[in-house]
Amino acid sequence: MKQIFVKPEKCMGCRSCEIGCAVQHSKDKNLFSAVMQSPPPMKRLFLEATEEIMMPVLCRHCEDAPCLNACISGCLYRDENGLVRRRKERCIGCWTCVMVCPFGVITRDGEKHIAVKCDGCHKLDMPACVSSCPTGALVLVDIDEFQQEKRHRLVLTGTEREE
Amino acid sequence: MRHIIIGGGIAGISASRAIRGRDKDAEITMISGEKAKAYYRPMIPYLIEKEGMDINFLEDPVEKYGIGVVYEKAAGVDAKSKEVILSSGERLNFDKLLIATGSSPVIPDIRGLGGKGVFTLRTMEDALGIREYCRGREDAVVLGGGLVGIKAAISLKHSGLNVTIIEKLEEILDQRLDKRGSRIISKVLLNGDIGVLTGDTIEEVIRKRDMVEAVRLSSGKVIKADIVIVAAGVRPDVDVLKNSGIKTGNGVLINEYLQTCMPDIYAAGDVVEYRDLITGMLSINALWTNAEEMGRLAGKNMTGENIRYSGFLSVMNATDISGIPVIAVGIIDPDTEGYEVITDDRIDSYRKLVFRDDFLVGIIFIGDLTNAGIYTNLIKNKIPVGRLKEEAIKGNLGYINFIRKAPFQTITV
Amino acid sequence: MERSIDKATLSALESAEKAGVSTVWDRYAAQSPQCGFGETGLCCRHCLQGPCRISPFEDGPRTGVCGANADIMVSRGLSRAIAAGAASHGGHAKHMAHTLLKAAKGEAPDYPIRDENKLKAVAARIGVSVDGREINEIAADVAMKALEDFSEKETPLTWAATTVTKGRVDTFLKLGVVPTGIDSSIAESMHRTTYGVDSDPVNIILGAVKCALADYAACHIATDIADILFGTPSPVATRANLGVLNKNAVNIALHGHNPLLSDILVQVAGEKALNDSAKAAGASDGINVVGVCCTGNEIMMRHKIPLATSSVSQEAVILTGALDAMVVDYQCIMPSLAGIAECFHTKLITTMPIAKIPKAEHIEFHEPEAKECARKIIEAAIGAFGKRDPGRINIPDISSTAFAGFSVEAILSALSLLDSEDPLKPLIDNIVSGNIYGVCLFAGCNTVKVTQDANYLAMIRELARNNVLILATGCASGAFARHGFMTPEATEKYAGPGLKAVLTAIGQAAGLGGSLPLVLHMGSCVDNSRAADLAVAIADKLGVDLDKLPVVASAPEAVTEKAVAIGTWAVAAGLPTHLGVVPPVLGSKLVTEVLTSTAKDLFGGYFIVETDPLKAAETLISVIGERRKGLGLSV
Repeated sequence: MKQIFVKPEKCMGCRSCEIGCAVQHSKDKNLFSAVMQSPPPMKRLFLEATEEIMMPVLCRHCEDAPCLNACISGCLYRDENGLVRRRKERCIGCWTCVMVCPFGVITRDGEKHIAVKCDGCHKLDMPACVSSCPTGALVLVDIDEFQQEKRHRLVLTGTEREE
Repeated sequence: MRHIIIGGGIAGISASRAIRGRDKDAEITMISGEKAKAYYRPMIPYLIEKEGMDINFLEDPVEKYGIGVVYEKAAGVDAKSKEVILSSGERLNFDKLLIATGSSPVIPDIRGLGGKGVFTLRTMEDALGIREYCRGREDAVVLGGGLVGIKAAISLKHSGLNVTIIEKLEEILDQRLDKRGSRIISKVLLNGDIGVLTGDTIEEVIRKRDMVEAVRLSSGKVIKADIVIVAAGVRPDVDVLKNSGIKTGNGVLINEYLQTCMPDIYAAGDVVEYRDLITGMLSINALWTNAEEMGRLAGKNMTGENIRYSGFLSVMNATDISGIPVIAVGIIDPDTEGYEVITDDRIDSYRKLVFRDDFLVGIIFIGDLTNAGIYTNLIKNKIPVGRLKEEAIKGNLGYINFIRKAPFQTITV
Repeated sequence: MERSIDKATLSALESAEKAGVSTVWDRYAAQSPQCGFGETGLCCRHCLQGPCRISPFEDGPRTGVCGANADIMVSRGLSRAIAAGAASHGGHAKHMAHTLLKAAKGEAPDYPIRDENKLKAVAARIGVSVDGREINEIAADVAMKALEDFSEKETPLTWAATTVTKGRVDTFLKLGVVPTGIDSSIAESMHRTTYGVDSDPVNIILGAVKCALADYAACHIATDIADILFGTPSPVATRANLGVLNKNAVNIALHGHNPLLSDILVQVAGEKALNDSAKAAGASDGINVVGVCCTGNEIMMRHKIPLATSSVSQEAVILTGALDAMVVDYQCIMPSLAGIAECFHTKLITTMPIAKIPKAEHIEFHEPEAKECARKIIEAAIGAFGKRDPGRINIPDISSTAFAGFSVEAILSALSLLDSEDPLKPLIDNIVSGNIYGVCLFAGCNTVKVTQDANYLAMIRELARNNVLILATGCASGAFARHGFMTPEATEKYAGPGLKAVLTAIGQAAGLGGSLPLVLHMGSCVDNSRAADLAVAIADKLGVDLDKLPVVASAPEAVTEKAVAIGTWAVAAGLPTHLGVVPPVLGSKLVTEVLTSTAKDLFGGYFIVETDPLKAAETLISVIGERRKGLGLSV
């Protein structure tokens, strides 16, 4: 299974991921049309920062997903790749998912009156946020390979952290 | 293992899902008095206004989890012999039983209330009945200014009726919001041309022949009405436990593993009386999300897990009133000392935070729901806010505030 | 997306792949996707409280730290781009003016006045007296007048005021956009776009237009003095594309912009001693000079020097493995050249004190000893020849004939063969009759953001078919030259019947034995001033202002800030101007509106941004139609 990893130490706060995300979720999927789109497309991940750390916060498609459990309309579902996605036509804008998401990454589309969340760019090989990231702070990794790599590093360097 | 679940609502469904998830051979029997495929109960108000709207589960849990369904009311439980007695007299034996009977509408004692043109709004059948009945009619009165009443009122309004909400208390959404919040929603309803009368109640339903013609209120006012919706709250459905030996108070009493006083008999959902996570008081609630969680945990425990249930939040509501998003969680209107209340009241948003010591214990967000889930999480998991209090007050709290040195943050794709 | 439709470029890119060398296309891929804030013009680094950026999607803060909103940020960014473009052309022109002055004073003996007629014509136009004066005196006065245009004067720029229609001057005065100094306009743009000065987006853009008009004047000075010093171009036949490199010669590519370097190098490269030395080094065919980019255009039209390639594919010349030296001055020279040259035997030689590249050999060029410097450079190239690796030579056998050098003077002299009394008359008559439906000037660069040459070729086919007369400068002309569009055959193949008839008539009258080429090559990018001159002549003849002419401009593959400046003065001159790449302005609806719509009310000209070349051509044709209708001509 593939996961999006965030490496906060590499994040420069450029917000390219936010733009990439919004563009990918625009009508024509290109920046210049997206800029002209009205209402503008909505991003699904959010750059957040404290004095110590900065990184984009995005949906983890949680194993025991609070949003999915709480959805009262049958809109949210888990797809065959493990992504928590929306059946847009079923959303009634009750905002229960917004209330329960502990990451705060579900937002409201006031215009369409539906909840908006990360769909893992299920149509793409590489999620838009990952391919927009100029520093490699967002990466898509095969979880099994990653665990292996991490163990390898642990053996080599005595730390799991990247040098 | 032979599991019986009394009740076909979300608590029963999520329990079935959990049972099936851990035991693919388990026999699951669901006893449901409601002859309908599984549906999302909170969606029923929409059935009034939207023709042909599908509120069923996309995949029928009965098929998906291999549940045997008995469409019959359970009449009793014989805890000693581990049997459920159906209204037909038939007995079904179980290894584990889940009481998930839910709750039923409270019907106040009002003259003229019995008869045609008066509805509750609890089941799909109720909603479709209302839809059918209000066709061609002009005036509706909704008794009760709670969430169900308001949702019903909005749907009736959308269906073209003149609607008036009658609320006995001083404010609508009592317990669900504070006074300011209730006022905001009242205004939204009034702007949507829905009448709101508070501090008043129906004394008599006036009928001509057997048809509803008007309601007379305690204040003496008479309001024209063709249809009356009774939305005066619900109470746990514990009838089935009469003489069973299973302890009940306002609802079925459970321990932290969702077991009743009989170890093999569990309870989940609206029928349960348990402690509120934040107030610590024994409470009942009729919230779908709580029922889902209780059912899920009960199902797991029925198949051998030992997960503790820390309790529910009696107030944990998200809704949208005519385009105004509303979230209220926890203790939202404390009337005793020891709380710190911070409000931010603006033209387009109202935010209220309630702190007790170092904990956030309640929120009301109206208009702007930014990062509401973060706050809910703080309340639910009793995370000390510490230095983040100021950020929380400013509305700047984000998930980032809870991350310190984690080298990797992972997101499953 | 394909990288190029030029087979020679693609062949060179294969060599790059083999050599493990990255090119501009690889680097573009590595940079993609590019920063959305930058692409929409919504970032600002003008002060140390920044950087600030504004989301183009109406979320997040709507202003930067200082309070600048999207409109202010975008207009400031655009203004600075135009200032940078003007500074480039200004630097080029100033360099020419200084050299002309030195030449006039006898301090630069290698730069004799080659075109006295042009000198006198320019002098007469700008009010320098001619009669009975020594050529050098006139030249000194012209040079001084040009230099005066750089500082701040009390009066409008000479080279702007004397080269446009009366109507334009009035429009510019009315809108307060008349520049009084080239350098001072640039400085003013920098001033008004710095922290806390001009915060009115429209005012900022008008300031930028003023700066763009200064750019126009600089271009015109550069063209005029180049003609004075090196001769006014007239049509020549040469070849274009990588196939012009000669395996058996010392190949020297001249890359950059200013003919002060390249023209002298070409002159010296013909010297017997150097050629003998090349032969002695093993190059049986002696020295072979080729051009790249705009300086390539300068020597192509004056000396028939073949054009190796255009700007975006400049690395390809080295990738042939047969280039012994690449000699550069300034502008559009990718720093990557040094790394690529290092992978081959090629010597990269920088010549200008303001444009050095680490790892390149720097042989500074001084005008007073121009030829001596040039010889040193050529000797260095000959020295590199012996280090070639024959196994790595891949010269694609691809090149096209190209007729170049259609200065306004050359066009008028060809037309005068049809009507010696009134040379413009045949042109005007054919525009009126519709044989020539309109005129389109192609200018600008090649960009990695568009398949190289694809927009040019798609558009020209469409426009020529609809009888639009095509002019080209800079790397636009390079594109047409490499693909054989600067030939009579192209006229035969692509021109609509009316256009074909006109080009054939002129060509035959001029004794070319066939038609004129489909594209009239007017020179380098500063030579856009020649196209302006032609338009002004037509307008004056018709008695209308420029904004009424059925003349349009297009930069379908633009790259540089210079192109932004040129595009802006084309708009101010009243031309509908197409851009085939999206400039970083879409972050502001206001600025976008001003450029593409309000500008029309103010100047008559406006920007048309269209990335689809066929739609762009369609739009330009319909715009020409509108203009024709306005003049009461057939549509």
